[in-house]
Amino acid sequence: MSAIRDRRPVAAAGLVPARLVTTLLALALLAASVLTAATIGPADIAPADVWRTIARHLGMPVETGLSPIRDSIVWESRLPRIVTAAIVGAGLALCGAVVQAVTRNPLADPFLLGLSSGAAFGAVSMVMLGSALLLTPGAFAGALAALALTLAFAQAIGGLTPSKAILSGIAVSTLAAALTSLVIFWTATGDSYREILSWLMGSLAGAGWREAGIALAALAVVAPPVIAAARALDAFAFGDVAAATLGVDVARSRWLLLGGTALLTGVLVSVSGAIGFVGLVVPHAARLACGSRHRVMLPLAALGGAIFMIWTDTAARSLFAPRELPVGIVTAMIGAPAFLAILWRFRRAT
Amino acid sequence: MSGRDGLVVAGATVRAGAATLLDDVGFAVPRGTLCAIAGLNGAGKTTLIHFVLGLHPNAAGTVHFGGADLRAMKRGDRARQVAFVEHAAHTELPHTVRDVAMLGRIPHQGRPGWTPADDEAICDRALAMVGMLPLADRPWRSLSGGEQQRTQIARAFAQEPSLLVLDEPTSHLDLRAQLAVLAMLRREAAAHGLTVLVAIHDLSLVAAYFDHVLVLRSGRAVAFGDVGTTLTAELIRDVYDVSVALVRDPGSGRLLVSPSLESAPW
Repeated sequence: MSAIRDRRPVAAAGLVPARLVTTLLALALLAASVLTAATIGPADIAPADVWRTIARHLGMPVETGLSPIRDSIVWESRLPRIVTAAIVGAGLALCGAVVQAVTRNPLADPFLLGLSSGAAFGAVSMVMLGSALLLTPGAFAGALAALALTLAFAQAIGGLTPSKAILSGIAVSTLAAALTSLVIFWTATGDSYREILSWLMGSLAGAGWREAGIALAALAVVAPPVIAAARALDAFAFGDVAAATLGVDVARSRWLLLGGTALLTGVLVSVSGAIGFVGLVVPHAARLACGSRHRVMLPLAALGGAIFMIWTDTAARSLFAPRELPVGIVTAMIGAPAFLAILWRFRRAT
Repeated sequence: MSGRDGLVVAGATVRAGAATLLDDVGFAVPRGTLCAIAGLNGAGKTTLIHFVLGLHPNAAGTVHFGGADLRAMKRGDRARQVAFVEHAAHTELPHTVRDVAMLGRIPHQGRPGWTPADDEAICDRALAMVGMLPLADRPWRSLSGGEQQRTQIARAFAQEPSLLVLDEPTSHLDLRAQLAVLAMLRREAAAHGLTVLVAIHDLSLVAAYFDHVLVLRSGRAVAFGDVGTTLTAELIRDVYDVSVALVRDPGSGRLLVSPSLESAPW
């Protein structure tokens, strides 16, 4: 069959520049989102102030003209929260894209499969045991356990079909959420309802540079190998047998990719709580924008997730200011209708 | 027949729990020829195909192609030699026809000498071979069953295999598409030395297009050989429990399998 190379020449489609443009546009939009979101809030701060503050803190000789208090609002309060939101959004979107590909389930998402609630339970359990240092490992273990439980149960009730995986995920997620609430209710001294809400609905209210750093470290560890595995993810399109005959070690790839997803979800939940639907909605939007080849789709989904999360979190903190919504309420308001739309699109398959 | 040059399967034995799905099956297909696997549903056709593809790593038996041990080969190397077209492929992803064909390039990507431009050109040519190039930008899920099947065959061609394995490729195709697919496989075999292994039900198509036939019953090979001499009315009655007459088409002289309508077993 080598002769297929030598036959009737056909012009190759020059699609690469269009994708590059899309990616550059998304990057520009992300930068603009960071700068704009940092101007939104009770203190009146202009985009130029944000820009100059960033430049000054990065060691450039710039005079901001901002008072120390306003400088600290930008640099210590708004920016770390926005950056954390961007990283969490990017990570959750990547996780969603991976679980959708590997389980061949258009409805899959770290939240709907129970990973996020499992991670929240793991995290609060560690806090209860008095080990704040183990918060992140606990979240990872919780995410991994929840994923294993969901997949095992779906398998046991007759296979990993989309609806069975989601039903199992709901059971696992509900259990983990109940246990999380119980643990907090039992141990919290102050406002336990607020704390339960921020773990189960997600909140970036407390995010500082430390949280941004933790989330970035996890993203930096997980994202490059996942993006490098884009071809293996593509190969899963028609199932395990097709992937295997394209040269993919199906079992190994699946467990490595799902393990990476659990690790990333666990760390993200440990800084932001269980934020739902980002991993569901953003990959579908990215596929609509650039097709479903993962090499192009994964980076775009990550950028899109970052932008989506910045704006949903900005809405959460500013819509009813000075009161603040858990950001998961905003993502669910957008995500639940999107979930129904996806259900409708795939109505024959589920 | 030079045994070393084509596909040589020996002692293929696959067990699942207490059941023996495949029992000591062996056969040899010379390079550049078409071999059919026939037999009742459940006779072991798909199991044998999966065995040849290396999907039963713990089973006993050997598969050699061109003298190389396919089962011992690295997955990636095997995927550049052997392509597979499933019975009914299915995806949830909004892949276009070209995206699907591009999957066939995965085993080649990142190899020495590989370029993305080659991928695009090879996919376009593979799509042109099955007449799908005009539909290259259509969503795969919006296609008819026959168009989906042709796209999967284009994906397999894009993989540039020396051995092409197909599981019931014609079962949901209309008559014209069936003939087109089998004629194309014949052409590739004759022109480029492609070796083709196909599980197939329609014995008249076997008689018309294939060089060899392997007949399975309950996981055992009951007959293997040249289609003209192997496919007899006795064998078919024996294996399918159906009386048939083998008649020659008066125009082409081809063998036709004509079942007796009174012989249905239930």
